[in-house]
Amino acid sequence: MTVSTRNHRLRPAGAWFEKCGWKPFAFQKQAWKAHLEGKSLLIHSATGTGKTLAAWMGPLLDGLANPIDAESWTKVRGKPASPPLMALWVTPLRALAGDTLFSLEQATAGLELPWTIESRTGDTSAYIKQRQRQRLPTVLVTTPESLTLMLSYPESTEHFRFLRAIVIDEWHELLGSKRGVLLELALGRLRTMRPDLRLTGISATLGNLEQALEVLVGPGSDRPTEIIHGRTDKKMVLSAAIPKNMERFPWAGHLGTRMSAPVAQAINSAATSLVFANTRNQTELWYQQLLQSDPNLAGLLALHHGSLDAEVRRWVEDALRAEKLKAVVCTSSLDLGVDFSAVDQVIQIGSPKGIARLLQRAGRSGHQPGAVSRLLFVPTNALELIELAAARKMIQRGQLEAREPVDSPLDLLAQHLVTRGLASPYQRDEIWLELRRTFAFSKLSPEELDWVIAFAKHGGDSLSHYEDFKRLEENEDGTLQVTNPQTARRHRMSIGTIVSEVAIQVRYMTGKNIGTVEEGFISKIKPGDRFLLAGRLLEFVHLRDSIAWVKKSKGTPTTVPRWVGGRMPLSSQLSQGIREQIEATSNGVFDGVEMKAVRPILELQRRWSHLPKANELLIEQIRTREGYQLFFFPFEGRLVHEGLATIIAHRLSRHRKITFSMAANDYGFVLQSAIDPNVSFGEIQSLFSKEGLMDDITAGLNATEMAKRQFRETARIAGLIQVGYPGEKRSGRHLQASSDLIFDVFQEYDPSNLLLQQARKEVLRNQFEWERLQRTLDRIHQCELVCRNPLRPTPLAFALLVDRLRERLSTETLADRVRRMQADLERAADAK
Amino acid sequence: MKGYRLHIAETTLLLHPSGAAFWKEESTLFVADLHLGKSTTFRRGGIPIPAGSTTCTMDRLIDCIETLNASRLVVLGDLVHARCSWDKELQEGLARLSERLPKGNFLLVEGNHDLGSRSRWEDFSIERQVAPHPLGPWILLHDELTERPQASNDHRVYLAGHVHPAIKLRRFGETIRLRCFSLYNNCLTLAAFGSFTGAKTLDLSLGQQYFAIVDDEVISLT
Repeated sequence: MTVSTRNHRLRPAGAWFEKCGWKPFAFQKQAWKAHLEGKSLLIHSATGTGKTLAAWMGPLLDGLANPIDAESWTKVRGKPASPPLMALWVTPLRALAGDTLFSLEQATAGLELPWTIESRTGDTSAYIKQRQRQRLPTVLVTTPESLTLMLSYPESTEHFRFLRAIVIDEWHELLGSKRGVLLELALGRLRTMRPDLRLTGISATLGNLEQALEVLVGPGSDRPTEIIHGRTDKKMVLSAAIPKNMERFPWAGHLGTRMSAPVAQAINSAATSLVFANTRNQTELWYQQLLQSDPNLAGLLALHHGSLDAEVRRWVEDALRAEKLKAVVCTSSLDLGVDFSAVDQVIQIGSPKGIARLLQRAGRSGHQPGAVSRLLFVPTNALELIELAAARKMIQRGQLEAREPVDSPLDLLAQHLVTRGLASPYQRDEIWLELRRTFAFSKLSPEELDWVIAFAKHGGDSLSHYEDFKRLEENEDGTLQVTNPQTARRHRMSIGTIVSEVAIQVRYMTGKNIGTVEEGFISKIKPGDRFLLAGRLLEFVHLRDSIAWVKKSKGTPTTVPRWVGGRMPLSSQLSQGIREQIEATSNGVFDGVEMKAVRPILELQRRWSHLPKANELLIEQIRTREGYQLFFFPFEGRLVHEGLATIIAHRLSRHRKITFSMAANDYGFVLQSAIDPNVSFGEIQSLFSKEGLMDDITAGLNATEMAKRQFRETARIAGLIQVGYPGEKRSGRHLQASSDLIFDVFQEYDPSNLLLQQARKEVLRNQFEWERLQRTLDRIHQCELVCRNPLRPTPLAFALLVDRLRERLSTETLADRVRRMQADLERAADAK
Repeated sequence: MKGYRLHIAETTLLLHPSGAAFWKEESTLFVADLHLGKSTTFRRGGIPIPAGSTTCTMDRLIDCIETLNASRLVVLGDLVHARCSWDKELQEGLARLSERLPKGNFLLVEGNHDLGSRSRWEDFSIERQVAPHPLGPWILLHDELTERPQASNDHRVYLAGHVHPAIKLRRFGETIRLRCFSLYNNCLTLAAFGSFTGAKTLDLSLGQQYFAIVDDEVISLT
């Protein structure tokens, strides 16, 4: 093929761009060329830089160059015939499907292709779904779950006969989650059906792009691939709101009401801002504070988070699009989605905990041509300024977090074996090959596969224990299949990986839905209690029919809803950056606005104790009113610290009669005891040994309780807990059991069940970042231990002390107590 | 095994750590909510729950009868889990149990889960009773909420099941859930005896007495 022929094939795209008054970017043309050459791609680029068209024009151009014969077209009475299903566009958010559809339709019509485009997600009506089972459009915009569902029907082989290309949007979001594995399995199936399939993944910038591409196309694939680097030259301005009076003893949690004035100012100085907070609670509190700070914002300020009613959220999104709002206070609920062209500023409250996340959030602003992305960072405690300085450095170096792919989730495999068996019978060896070609199951052992097959067939490999159970059946020729219609129906209802928390609907007495809160919260409050939700103060009336009825109220909240989730730790990369920043300060270097602002704090830390270099581990022993405090500062993120605290406390109490209480944050952890633990230097070194690590962490905590909690997800995905469906007969109630109970029964009567093991493994990974914890111990081995005995709590120690107190004191008492402690320490700091 | 001797209805009931209540005066053992055959029901419904709990429940019950020397057994409802719970294991187990008791001394106050199995009781010499059923100083029920007469001057004590009571205790940030018996307003609700049964956490309220089962003991909490 000569160069001119290739350019000739791109010409229709160029012509359409010209008509629209655009000019294609180099990376877009590169992507189109690569696709036409038959490659699978990973396109990564900053948001709003033309990724959609980079991914979509390729399949369109291919459609023009290699059309399908008219005799294979879908004929519909009364409508023009259209080509059969040729391309899929997979998106993680069903809410995005509508907007995506529009963009794809525009481009498709622009190239004058007679293609039909439809979406199919959980929101698609039953009527349309039924119609699609008969006749599919040329392009389908869908989600991983809906795609898996389609693959569960016998007619799927027929449906996908002409499939040529799949685009996977927001691949970085799916990678590293079980949903990503669900998609990997679907892609594996489709690759077997259609060996010439071309995949295009669209991703935000990641630290492991090659791996992200490998996971997409499957390991050992002989398909040519290419990574397309999009525009990364998007100009971005990162700044921080620096508090006027920097306290030298910062602590987390007092949301800095002092900061709401500068934030309100920033909102007023921009056209439209997105204000990101790390938890749903914080968004509610900030919303109130901003209105108090600047009452003129009323009507121009909105709230958006996952527990608000879907209608409310849609209203906010529409208002943003129509440029009716000045600012929206939100959580990660607005991380994905269509870029709102009105947004020209992002305000990030509190640390985003990761560099990639910081970049992505900043990238949500400045979509007008030539505009700049702007992010204003608002620290919730002074030490967070160090995090911004570190993030800046890492961005310059291009050191971003990787998204670790999930390894061998057996619960999902159990679900997949049944899904596969619904479509058509298959041999064990067939599926073995197909699985090994997916990244998630590339290391699956034959024994594990056999166990899961046995589980899906008759529940576990001890036949005698599971008489009467049948889900996957084995035919005479050895093929596996599901034919029971009831099994089929129940299974299709529960395809997926999303395990929802039990959410209680919150509704006005007049009938309007406001949002949801968790069952645990409702069970603890009494009628008359007041709490904030959706920006309003509500009074709890009563709980009836599983609905929490409320009415509008005045005054102040008496309680705070608590939602699970949102407490991410510092990423590995950002932690490293922070250690480097502190090392610089130990050499007297305070580079940049943020570091200059925290200088007084760090200088005091040095005076009273020490500023550690990157290859040092700082340990402080302090005696306070509360007892003997042993502080460790590995700067490795809260989860790893919680794990280390558990292990070290356990090891220390092995040869002493002593109990420890502990606290951990992203910078370090503390062990507190009533009597002096009298730890020698030599002993401290042995505390970080990797020997007996697993035993020590399981001994130190309630491993069973944690495994049970994790098992809830496993039980749901593997089909041990059935999702009820509408109109279910009463007999369905006989099959209800909690995952706790099932865990107990398994442990008692089938303890070698691999699902139990999986739950335990996942606890270690999710709760303690097990691999990262081990790497931390390796790193600490190379470190020099620096021990200090300051007379008073240092700035680094202070935050942890407050966390310990927080568990025992109420909010008001805590605030008072902290203020007094700070005053004492400030006086001491001024004296010396 | 250390039970709790509850003085009530001018007699004594031994609240046993297995979840049973023994009335020594008439050698009668009261149990509730066995849900025999529950795991079979799940397997037949397409959920892979291992077998073993039915036999375990049966063994524990027979053990209880022998240790305490009971000559009469009263089941306060939900003896079996469902109509599709019946299999060889269940039938053999009930036959074994029935043999241990003198004829006419195996009573069942029917619960909501027993309804589909009515035709089977005869085969095991189980005498079916309908709530509320008087027995000496007691009135036997399965579900207090629906079966207790509204206004009554009766000073007899109600014995019931159905609830599967449990309480939550909090200590130093840890919570534990314990099965229990609960006594309130002249009604004693027994713990669920069955091995594969869930439990409902009760809200602690004034005036209610709880007898928590902690390993091998029953401890009174107020």
